[in-house]
Amino acid sequence: MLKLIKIETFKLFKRTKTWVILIAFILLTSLIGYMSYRDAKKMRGYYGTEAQLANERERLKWLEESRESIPDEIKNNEALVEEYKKSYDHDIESAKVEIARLKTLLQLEKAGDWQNILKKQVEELKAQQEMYKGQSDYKDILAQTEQEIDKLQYLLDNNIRPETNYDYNGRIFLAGIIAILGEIFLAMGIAVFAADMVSGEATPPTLKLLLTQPVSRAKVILSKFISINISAVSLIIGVELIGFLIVGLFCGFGNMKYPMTVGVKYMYDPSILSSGYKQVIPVLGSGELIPAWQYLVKLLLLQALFIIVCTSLVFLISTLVKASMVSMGISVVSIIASYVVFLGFNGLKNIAKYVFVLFGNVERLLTGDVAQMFDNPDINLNSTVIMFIVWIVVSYILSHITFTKKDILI
Amino acid sequence: MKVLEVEGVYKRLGRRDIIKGVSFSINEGEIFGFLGPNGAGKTTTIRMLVGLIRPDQGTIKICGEDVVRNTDKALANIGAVVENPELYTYLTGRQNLNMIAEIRGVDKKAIDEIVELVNLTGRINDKVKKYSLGMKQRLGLAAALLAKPKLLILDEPTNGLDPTGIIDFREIVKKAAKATNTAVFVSSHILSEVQQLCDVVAFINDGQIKSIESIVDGQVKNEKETLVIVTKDPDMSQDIMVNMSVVKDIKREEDTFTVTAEKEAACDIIRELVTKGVDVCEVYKKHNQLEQRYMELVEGGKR
Repeated sequence: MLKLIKIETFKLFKRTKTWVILIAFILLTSLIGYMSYRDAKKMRGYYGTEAQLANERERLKWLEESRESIPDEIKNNEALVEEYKKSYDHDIESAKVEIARLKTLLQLEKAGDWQNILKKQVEELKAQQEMYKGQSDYKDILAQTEQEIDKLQYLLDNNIRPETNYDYNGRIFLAGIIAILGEIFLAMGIAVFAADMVSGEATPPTLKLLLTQPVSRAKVILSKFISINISAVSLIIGVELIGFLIVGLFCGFGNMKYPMTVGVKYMYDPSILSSGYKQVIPVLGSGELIPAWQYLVKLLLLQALFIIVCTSLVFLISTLVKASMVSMGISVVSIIASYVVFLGFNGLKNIAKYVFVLFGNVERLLTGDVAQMFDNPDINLNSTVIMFIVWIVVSYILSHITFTKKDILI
Repeated sequence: MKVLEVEGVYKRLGRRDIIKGVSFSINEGEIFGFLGPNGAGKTTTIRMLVGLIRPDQGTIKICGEDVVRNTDKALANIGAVVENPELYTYLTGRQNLNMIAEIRGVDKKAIDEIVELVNLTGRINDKVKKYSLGMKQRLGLAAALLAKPKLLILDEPTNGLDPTGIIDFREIVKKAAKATNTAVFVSSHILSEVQQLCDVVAFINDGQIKSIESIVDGQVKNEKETLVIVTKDPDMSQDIMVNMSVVKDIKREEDTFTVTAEKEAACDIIRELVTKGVDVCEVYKKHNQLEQRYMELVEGGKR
């Protein structure tokens, strides 16, 4: 058995196509990595404290100028002028407060004193909590505030600098690439990669050589299945991990203990449920914090599972069809069609929850956001993993039956 | 000892009955020819022998192992080339053989010997993509012989071989059969090939074996032969021959007769004609004996 797996893998890597796809995949990963790096840099320009401060100052200047330039038609009316000026006073005041806040923030940031920033935030949240305490209407908000405080406290306790949405490091690259690749690229890549695992041996019919050797067909198909899955998973995750190392060396790896929120639960929005229209909203305060390393490991495992699901179905198609071009065509078209049809028509959402290709963004599974995508609170990590496993098992059983039973007439 | 036993095998593909009850067996060291026209069911039979397709009825046993039930044990005794030798074109000849050696647990040293035997030593490290058809045939033969099988199955093996290649091929197969007592099953539609190679020949047509005969000194035993006779007095000749008991069938084309007669009847016919005063200009046997038998069994004796 091990011999056969070795042989299948050897054959796989002797094919030119494998290398072409691998190179294309490396290029795609680098491109996505570079784009997200550039985005982060741009975001810093917009949302960094310094940028915010500059914006606020600009706004203040504009407000003050506007206040002084009284329109001609009310120039003569004192009362109106007074009113006009007053309308700006409030904004100017708030802008000044904001500038003051940002200035202290910047000072703290420059001094590297983010602990104090955090402490301040915790204090603010606690004050908020105090305000709503005991009011049943604000139960959810309280729960959320509680969770936020927990997160900040965790950062403080573990001495972790809080990250902003414009930070960029190896960890963020890896989570990002897993999410983006899952959207459609992985499924397409696998469709091309695995499509000729069996059908490729029908044209030209090398299967005849293989099956006249003293090995059972069940072993042949199983070793092909294992070989293509191991190759697909290790190539994809291997390239991602190399990207992680490269980004990490240049931009840092990010703190591996960073708290990440996972497993957020969703429910139907009760305020619009009576209108017959269903929309899900997160249950505030649900979900839990896990350290970033655990988050990444879970993401990688989920992605590996998703890769295996894709590979299994493409493998089944490859077993059913005799020409490799046809099996590749069917695989690619069915993946694109799933995206277009099931995401395009809302009426099909009930079926769409069983179409595994749509679940490639495994970060959504981990965070729980997947419920939002299908407007169905019952779809979560567990239900999806079960759906994946059912697909794998069914695909493999069908492949096994067709392959071991069929007459080889090629 | 019987290496291959085929017993009452039937196979239906789609709506057509391809094989309608085939039975035969091959002994150790025997070279068995499987002769028939295109579409007679030769390749379908071979596919069943090597387990690529299952018979609907009947059993196939190789060294006592059932091909359907104990496929891997049965296949361990077989080396086969089914139709064209389809090897992995993106691998080198040696990588192809290595693969088979690994699956069958054959010593890597055997590869060099076999490569030497099929005369591919110079090109064995080239990709199969770059091989000519004849080289692919020889590599296919090497792949089939690699594990020194008890039964060698070859499907139209000389396709694409040049005359030297054919002679070499025949030598290799004969050597294998005699030296290691390998049984060989060769399908072919080329009469001379079977004649020169085989000990036994089975004639197959329309999914049935018409006859199984042994070949001695390159000939089969025939009951009939076809004579072509040209005489100066065709009308009279016809009258004479129609009345002879040894003559089975006469066809006339002006002064040329095609006569199907009992074996060794040529002397009688000529004597009869000559004594009755007919001038015989030309007499020859239309087919050699294997051809004759083939025509009888496969083409219904016509032509």
